[in-house]
Amino acid sequence: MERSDFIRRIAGRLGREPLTIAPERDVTGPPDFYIESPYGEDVDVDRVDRFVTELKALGGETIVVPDNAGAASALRSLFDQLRPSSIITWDRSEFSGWDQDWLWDERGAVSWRLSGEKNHGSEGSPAVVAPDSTETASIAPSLGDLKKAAQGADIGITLADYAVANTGTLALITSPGRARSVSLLPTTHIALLRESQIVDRMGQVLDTFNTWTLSEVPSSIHFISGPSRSSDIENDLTIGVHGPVAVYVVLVRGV
Amino acid sequence: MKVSLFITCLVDQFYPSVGVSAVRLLRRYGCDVDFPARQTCCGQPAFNSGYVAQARDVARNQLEAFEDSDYVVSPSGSCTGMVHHYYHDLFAGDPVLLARAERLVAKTFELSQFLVDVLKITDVGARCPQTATFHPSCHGSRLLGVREQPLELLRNVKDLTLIPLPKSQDCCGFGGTFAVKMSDISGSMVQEKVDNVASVGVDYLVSTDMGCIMNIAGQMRRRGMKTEPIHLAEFLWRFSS
Amino acid sequence: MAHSTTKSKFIDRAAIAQGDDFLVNAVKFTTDRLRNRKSDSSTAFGNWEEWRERGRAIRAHTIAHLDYYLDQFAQNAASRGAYVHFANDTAEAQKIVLEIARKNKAKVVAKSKSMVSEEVHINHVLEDEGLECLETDLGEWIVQLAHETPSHIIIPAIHKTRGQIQVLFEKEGGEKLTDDTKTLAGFARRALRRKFELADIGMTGCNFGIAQTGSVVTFSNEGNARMVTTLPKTHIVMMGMERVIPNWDDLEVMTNLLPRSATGQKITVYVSALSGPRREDEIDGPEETHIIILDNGRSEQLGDPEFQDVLNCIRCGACLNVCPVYRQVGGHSYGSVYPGPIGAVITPLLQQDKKQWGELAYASTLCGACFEACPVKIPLHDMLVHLRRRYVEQNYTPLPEKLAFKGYAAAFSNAGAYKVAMKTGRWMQLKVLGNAVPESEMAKVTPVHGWTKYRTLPENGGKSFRDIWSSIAAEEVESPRTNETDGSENDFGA
Repeated sequence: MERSDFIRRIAGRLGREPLTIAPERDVTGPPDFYIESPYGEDVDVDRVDRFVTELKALGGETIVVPDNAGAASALRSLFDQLRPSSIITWDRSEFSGWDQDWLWDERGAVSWRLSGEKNHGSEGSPAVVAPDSTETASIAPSLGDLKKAAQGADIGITLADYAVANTGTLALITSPGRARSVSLLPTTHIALLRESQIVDRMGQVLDTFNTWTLSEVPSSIHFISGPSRSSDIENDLTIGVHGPVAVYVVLVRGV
Repeated sequence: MKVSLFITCLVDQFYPSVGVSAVRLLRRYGCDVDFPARQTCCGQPAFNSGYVAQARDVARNQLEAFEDSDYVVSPSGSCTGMVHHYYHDLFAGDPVLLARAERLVAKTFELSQFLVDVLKITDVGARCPQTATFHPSCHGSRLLGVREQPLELLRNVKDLTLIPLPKSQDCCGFGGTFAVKMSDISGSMVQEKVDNVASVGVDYLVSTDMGCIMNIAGQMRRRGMKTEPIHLAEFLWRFSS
Repeated sequence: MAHSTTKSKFIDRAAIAQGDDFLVNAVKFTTDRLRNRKSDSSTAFGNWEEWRERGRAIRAHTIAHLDYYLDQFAQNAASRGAYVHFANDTAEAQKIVLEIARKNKAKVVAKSKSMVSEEVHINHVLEDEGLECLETDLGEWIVQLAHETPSHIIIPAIHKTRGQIQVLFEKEGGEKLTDDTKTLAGFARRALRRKFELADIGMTGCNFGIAQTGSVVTFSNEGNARMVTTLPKTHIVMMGMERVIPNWDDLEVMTNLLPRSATGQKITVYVSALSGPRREDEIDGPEETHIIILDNGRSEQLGDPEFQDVLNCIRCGACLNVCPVYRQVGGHSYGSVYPGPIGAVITPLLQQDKKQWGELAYASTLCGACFEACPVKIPLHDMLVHLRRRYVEQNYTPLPEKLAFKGYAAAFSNAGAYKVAMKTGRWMQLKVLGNAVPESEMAKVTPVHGWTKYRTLPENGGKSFRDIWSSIAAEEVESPRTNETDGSENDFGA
């Protein structure tokens, strides 16, 4: 069915012509009391402490460090513990300002983006189509890269764009240098985070999306709260189903 | 204060002592109680099964029966809930009847609701040095919002040990015709309800709805349980007179 | 909804379920757990009634202006590179999916949880076309391997024991396993990882479509929704047309309501917002995104003041977890994609065969627990009554019942007829049914048998309240008393 007919039918059932301007709203978003008190009764909440507590309750671990050197130590320590044979990361250039060159230079981490080849985008963006349209995008991914990732790197290292304290959540926004697979395919996910990136509640992250023009809207945004889990087998909780079985956050305080 | 008793067909026919206790309690607190003999039934059995026209015929009689009452008080959360929640819907098509229905809604109360909210009585001077648990009527608590009032009255019964009923908010399985139409499911529900009553091992099971009590009592009797099922009105009267 | 071939009645399906002890216990265990967690979590969160009202307001506003928001969603999604399709009904949805599959020469479809996809029987259609169509949600995969249907919206395989799951997995993988959770889950992780890599098409549902940017938001715990939208070349979103919300601010309300209502979690492990296919220079994510927006009877509820609110549903399953009937019979008894209270309401609304499905509205005592639990305040209990009214108006109820209620109306619409009827009834009980005697011979053969199977009939002393009223009215009035004084001084006056 055509979009216009579909929409027209809806409007018709609602007793009018399709609306062309945004309807008035009495309320939008969360109640004011939540915006004022995102931690409920608790006051003077330290965001770092709360983030650590919430993530721990979900089976994730946070290592709080004072600076980039501390972050490096923490990572080395984790590698000693986890003994990864393969590490993939977001594009190296995303980590500028973190002083972690050793990851790639010494440790052999793979900076995960297409090596060399440039993608070819499709001509213009597809319009809303009827079922018999034939437009297709013409991007050719590097199959080798995808397969390699799919074999399951042991560790995937990313940054985060934001973190949410009251739920222990990381917010990762996808871009060419920030591939979504890196936080998903490896067995363990490690995210580097700075204290200044932590907000109280998710709405504060969502609010930043309001500044985007349509063309700036990213292909995907991922809110991640701990390792993957399921209770589908006789209600018995198991950690580590399809997504990573472990999540670590290396959190630099004071910056 | 003039109060008309809305007896409900179930209490009228099977449990008149509940009505008697209700009247005596109300009169003790200064109510001049009358009984409009014209009343029959709130119409719920037909309404809940989808027979709206039949429900309307019956409910219309209730509008007439209580037309001149100041207050209408009923010993049933379920029947009062019917009036409050569905009479507007039932008479929506007729402005004259709707206006009368809305007047009835405004002056109709379940007994514990009336005692506590209108008469401001929470202590009836009862004493019962035994144990009891309370089963809330689904319609009474959810349609009518009567949750705290029966508990307040029970808490003020001297020397009574009031034990919370596990999963008290779960339906007992009566649901009017449901108990007959889906008897095995209803049977499982009442069995579970009585398992919960048995688990607290009390002397009395108190409720504001004889439909619930009739249902639960039937299974309790089948098991030969010692717990006495009793309506709140009878309980309060018995132990305060 | 697609024509379902079920001709059986709810009560017969329920009888089968009630005979399965494991199932009954599993349903009780699961629903207890989920509702306790919801209760703990919403209490800890605080102000739950205000949150419910906010959720209701956002959903109701959206539905009341669905033309605007859905149009906005579709246009914005298209501007981000998605193909947006509109499917009137099951047949159209199936056709669109098949065309995408054919055009892409797809062989394997990997699905994460989508109830809409089940509504349009997409698995059968794809399999008939020769594709492998695989569920990847652990519970859904288990149910698929068993050739069954899910029995709960959130936890689809609660009716399977770990032993049964072990057998299913061993057969699937050809390797010996044990029945402990870790081993079984580990097997699923390995087996399904291979499938994620092979899949040509990833199919998901859509928890919420954000109109503001045309984004599709999914909530999941396992990571499979992310998998099927990261590795396969093509992503198909199956979306009910009502699953739209206006903007990102509104999403915060849903992220607070949905996980808590479903499982008691503050948030699901993954909340992902997808806006079209991968961008230029991105190396993962789908190359092609298709959003199929499905009507299938939903638009019929718009403009109907009795049922429009049912479109507010956010598919959390909270109503299932508190329903005292679902508790006893589980999901399969409802015979269709959606079980429990929400299923009992939308199945008759969306299905064509009103006679077959309208009877689901009677699978309830109208206790109202569903309404109380619903995070967006859908009056499911009222809707069940409205459905029953329609069922009666359409003449689907049996003749004896119709006559019984006609008789009831005649007897109860005036006091005179009532008195006669009641006297007769009391005589019947006393003389014919055997007063208070369990399972008297007569009781066994009457319609009352369903009652007396579980209960001993109440005694009847013979006199009604109205018979004794005059003597009660003549009694002396007692003086009031409380436990503070002995009451003898107080006299409120008679």
